[in-house]
Amino acid sequence: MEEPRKPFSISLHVTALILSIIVFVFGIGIGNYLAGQVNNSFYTEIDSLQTSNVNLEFLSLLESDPSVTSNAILHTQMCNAVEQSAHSLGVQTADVGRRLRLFEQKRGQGADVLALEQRYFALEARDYLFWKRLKTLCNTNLTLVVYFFKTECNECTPFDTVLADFKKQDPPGILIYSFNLDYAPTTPSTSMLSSIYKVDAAPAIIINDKKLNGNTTVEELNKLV
Amino acid sequence: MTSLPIVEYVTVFVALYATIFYFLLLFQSRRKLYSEPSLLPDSTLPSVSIVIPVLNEAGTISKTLDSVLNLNYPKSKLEIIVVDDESTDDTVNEVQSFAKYGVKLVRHVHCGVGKSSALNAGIRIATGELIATLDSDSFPSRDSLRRLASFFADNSITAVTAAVKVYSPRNWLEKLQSVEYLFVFFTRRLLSFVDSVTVTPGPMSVFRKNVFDKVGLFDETSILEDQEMAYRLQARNYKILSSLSAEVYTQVPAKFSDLLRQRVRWNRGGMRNVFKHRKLLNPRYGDLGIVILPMSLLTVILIFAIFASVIWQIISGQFFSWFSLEAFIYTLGGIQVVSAILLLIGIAWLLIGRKLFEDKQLVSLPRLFAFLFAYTYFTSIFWIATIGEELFGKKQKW
Repeated sequence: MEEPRKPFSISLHVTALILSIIVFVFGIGIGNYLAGQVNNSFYTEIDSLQTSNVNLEFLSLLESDPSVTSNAILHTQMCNAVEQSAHSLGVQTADVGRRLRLFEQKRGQGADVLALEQRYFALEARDYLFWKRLKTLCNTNLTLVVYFFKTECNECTPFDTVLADFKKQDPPGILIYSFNLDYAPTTPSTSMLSSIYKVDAAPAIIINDKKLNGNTTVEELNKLV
Repeated sequence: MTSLPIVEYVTVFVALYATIFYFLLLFQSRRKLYSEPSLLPDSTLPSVSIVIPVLNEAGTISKTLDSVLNLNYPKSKLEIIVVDDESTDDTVNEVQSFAKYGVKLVRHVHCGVGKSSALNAGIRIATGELIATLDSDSFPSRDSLRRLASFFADNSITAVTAAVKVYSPRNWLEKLQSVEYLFVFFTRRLLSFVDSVTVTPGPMSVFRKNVFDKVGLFDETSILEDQEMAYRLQARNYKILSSLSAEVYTQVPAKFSDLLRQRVRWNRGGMRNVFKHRKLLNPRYGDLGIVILPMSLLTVILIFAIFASVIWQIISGQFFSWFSLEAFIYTLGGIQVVSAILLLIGIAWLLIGRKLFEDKQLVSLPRLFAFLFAYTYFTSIFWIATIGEELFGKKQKW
């Protein structure tokens, strides 16, 4: 009854190994290609928003063109047009930011995500400074919020809810710009804003240039407005 | 996924390799898959002793004995031995009512060990050239014994396993198990082509009697004696084959708690058997030692990894984000694509297997997919319970 052991089915296993390697490499390649495409789509979006400089031209007109500065009606009309356009771009920017947060959550803080975040924060910083200037020029009733956070920050988690509730009070009138302090050393825009407002710890909120550290509530934020 | 990338890559590659290996094995064996020995005529059939250990099976023993008496095997070559392990219900009376048909009743002193000692008591007094072990809640089809016995015309065969199917599945749990059992015996048939059958199932298996003289009787310390016997036979390079046509129908747990208890026993017994026969993890044992056994161990780890990953994602709040297209797209990377390919191959495996089964109703597509997705999680739960019982040192009883 005792038979010699059947030899190891080497051809079967070698074929299985070769096919596995082919499928594996193919799958990894496809996955990396798709991941790259997602990356590229983010770059395209951010760059498209970045290069949209129509509002900056209007800002320049509002600031320095005498025919505009001396004509109150024209000035007001131009302010309204710029605000509308900027709001529309702001919604797109915020959506990119939301998706970038999700992207970072899924992908981690790798080099590709870091590069995207740098571009995005630069876009946010430009947007924020634009609105600050417009607010002054057009006497706009806007609330500008700068929120500094960190990725691994337990104290930051309640802030997300507080800020979301705060914005719900007046969605077009409250603009929130979020910056991740983890990226400050490598992101000039984040570094610049954090040094302007002297922020070195998260979470920190700046509302209309007033700083708030530590836990807060919607009521306390309203007091600062 | 937050685990180390290298662990993910290795796990997925190993799973891919195992799946492709089984596909190639199926392809290689496709022509002989249903090829079984011709049925022997009565005159050349060997004598068989059917040993049925029983403990409080008053509900099913009569049906089992009816099935045995209905076998199309020459009565002159058939010996039926029921070993009662000190039943406290009406089992003994029921068995005694079959005495007029030649059923022998052996009153065995329950040693607190379980089924294996009762089996051994029956084997010791058996007179047949072959020993068929049969569970007392299992019902062999009419021609099953003749089909199994016909394998033994080849003197190199020491044991043959029947195709174990679920008897009359009613609720969703039994129906899921019916799918599981179909794929188990199908896989076992494939593994027999590479000498890698790792269990001679209790519901029905047939052995050459003299093999017990060479390897010993069933291990009375094992709570999974059918697997332990198979490992022992494999350790001696004895050939075990598997039949697709010799059917036996067995009852399965209808409640999840009973199923959990059964599977914990199987897992704990299985771990002990693997440890006892760890020398089988050796190139000397061909495909069994190099691939089959290591793969089965890795499969447990893989199932745990998937389960743990899902639990972690639920706890971290990421799980439900999977249901958004955005989250899915943003997570897409190499591992996810390979895992998706693996899932597709797994589905193809199930669909091909389904094509080979006659009873399409039994493996309807919804049931098939329910099996694919539900069983991964059931198996994880079974293993978590197993580890819990091992850690807390709860003595496993049969």
